Amino acid sequence: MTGLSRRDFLKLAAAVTASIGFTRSKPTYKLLPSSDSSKPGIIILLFDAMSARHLSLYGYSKETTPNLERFAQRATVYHSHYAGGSFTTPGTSSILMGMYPWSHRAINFGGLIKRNLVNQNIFSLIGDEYYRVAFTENLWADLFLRQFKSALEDHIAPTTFEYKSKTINPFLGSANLPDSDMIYYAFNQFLLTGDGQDPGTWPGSPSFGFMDYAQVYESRGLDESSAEYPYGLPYNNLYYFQIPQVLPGVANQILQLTRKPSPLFGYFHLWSPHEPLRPRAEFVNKFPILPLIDKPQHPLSSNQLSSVDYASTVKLYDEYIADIDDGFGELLDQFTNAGVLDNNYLIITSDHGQLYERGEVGHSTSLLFDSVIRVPLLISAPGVTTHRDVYVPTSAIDVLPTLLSLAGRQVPAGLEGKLLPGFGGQEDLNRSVFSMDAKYDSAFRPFTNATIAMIKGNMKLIYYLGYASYPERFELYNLNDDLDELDDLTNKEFVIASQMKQELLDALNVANQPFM
Amino acid sequence: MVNFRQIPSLLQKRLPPFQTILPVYAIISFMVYGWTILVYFRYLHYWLAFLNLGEISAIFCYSMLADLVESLIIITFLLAICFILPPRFFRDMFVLRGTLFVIFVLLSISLFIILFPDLNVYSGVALPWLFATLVGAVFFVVFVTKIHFVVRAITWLSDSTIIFLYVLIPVTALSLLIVLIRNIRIAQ
Repeated sequence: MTGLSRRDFLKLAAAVTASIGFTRSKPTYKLLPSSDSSKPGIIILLFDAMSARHLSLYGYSKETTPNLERFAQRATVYHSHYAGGSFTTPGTSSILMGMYPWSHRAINFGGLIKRNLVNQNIFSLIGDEYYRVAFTENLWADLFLRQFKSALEDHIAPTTFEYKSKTINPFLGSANLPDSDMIYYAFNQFLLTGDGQDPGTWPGSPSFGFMDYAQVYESRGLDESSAEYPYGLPYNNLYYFQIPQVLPGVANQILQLTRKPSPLFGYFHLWSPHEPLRPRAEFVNKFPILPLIDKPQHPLSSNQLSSVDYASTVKLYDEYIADIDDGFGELLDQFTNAGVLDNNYLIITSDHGQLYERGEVGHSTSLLFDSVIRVPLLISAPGVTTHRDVYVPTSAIDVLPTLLSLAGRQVPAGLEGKLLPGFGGQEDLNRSVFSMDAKYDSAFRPFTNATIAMIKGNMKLIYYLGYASYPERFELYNLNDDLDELDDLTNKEFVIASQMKQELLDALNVANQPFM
Repeated sequence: MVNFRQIPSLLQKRLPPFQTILPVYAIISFMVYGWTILVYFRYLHYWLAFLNLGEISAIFCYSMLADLVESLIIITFLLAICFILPPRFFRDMFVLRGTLFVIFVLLSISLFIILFPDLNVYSGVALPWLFATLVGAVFFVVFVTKIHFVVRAITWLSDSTIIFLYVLIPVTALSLLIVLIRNIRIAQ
């Protein structure tokens, strides 16, 4: 074998440099502008980690959401609406892409949408006749907005309503830098102390990482009890915020944006009521601690919380929801007074729920029980003041095609979602909707370690794939008779279980095909 | 009144010569870049699940640039100490004392990060740890320089690590080039 000459080495180095520099694919899909600017605007307001099971709007015993109920009087309310997954990444991306996680492949903690699909996002497809604005306090959701930045007229920095930072990171709010998603990974997730998702991982920079500890220490007072925040100030891992600043701030942004000549297409994704659960004083002890139904520990759960711990955590979560709902009430009043609801669609939803049972606390769980995947969906149409209920199962992936239809745009063939009933779609009891968790799997290969839930009519099948402690298992529940999902019908309803198993496995097989 | 014409001679008088700065900078770079590369490989399995090789390489490039900034801040800090203290305390033994100081402080910080990885729980330990580290570093530097074999070992170590600069400086330059290409290309 001959040695590498100096000239060859330089050629190779130049080629490697260029190939790394040019890895980012350029947008290939751009809609032509339309001349019609008289269309109503569309505003999506997403409350992170808001479980439908904890909202009085959906029959919860505590009155957590009187203001959502007030809004519901003029909205279509979806009672069986399912998120794409159990945490931010699959939950949010499914809304923004109109596809299940098995297609867009944003499945990992802090994962990204498959690069060749990026330009089929909600903002690109809705078209530039709208003034497209997006804001999120959730930095993993902000990664998607960074991916979509070529389709946004305004990407509002995630730190816009920051009260105090928990990091020295100078790039935290710099969402508009050209290479902002890689800057996020380098600084937020690697060089500094990370965004708190993996405390066992060390910062990549010793000195800067250490300085982050000092920054957190400096702001420690905000974690302590105060008159207004008995549990400390809420934060999103990287900065503290105050609900009375965020919701009115978002409302003001929307009010200003609706005055623009172009119709608004706005996506506003708020962190609350995501953990940490820190309601304001006026909502603390609003509800009593109620005993919960005792549910057995699941083999895939690792926590060992007592029923008392669960009950007090649920109480806090409910109070936090009531706090957010109160803020929403003020926003709703502002919108009503300003006539925003007369000219705009308003969509209220969430990316995932929360699970406080069977050994799980919060979300990011491999268990896909209803509490963590059933989320609110309410849509008010401009000028409509009547109420409608939809009970058939719907999915987060239905939002995108529905909005495209409302905007008069063509729905591309690649989308998996369907038009929502009440907005051009039919109530279809035979339709299956899916939700999944595969956070430890590769985004580039077929699924080997995942949980997939399939909801069809009243029945729900959960498939556990590749877990060492719970291998190849199915669970079947009847959501009409057994809302708490305690009675596994896999053996009792053998025929239904077999049919649903086959349908789920077929769907998974199709999803895996491109990666085989 | 400040006489600006005296500044170059003042710097020359207060700061150590370049030949002695270089081995100390080499030690700093070796430790800072070395840590980053080590931790980078711990993250690799996580990124491989959803980022392509170009994106993972881009993170490496940004990290190398951050390491350049970090190492320059640390050497500037040491030079500032030289400037402030009388020459016999630090400037005249810059290679030895600078190297010992850097090794002690960076090892202590690294140990802290390994022992207390959750910043939300342990941030309160950081400032006392830093204070103890700086005090410990002063004692360490003063006393250890009296041990002859340590002096010889440190001198050998700081001279030997210069060779890593022949790798780290081109890697950093290449990283800068890649970062510029990426940002210019994406901005277009």
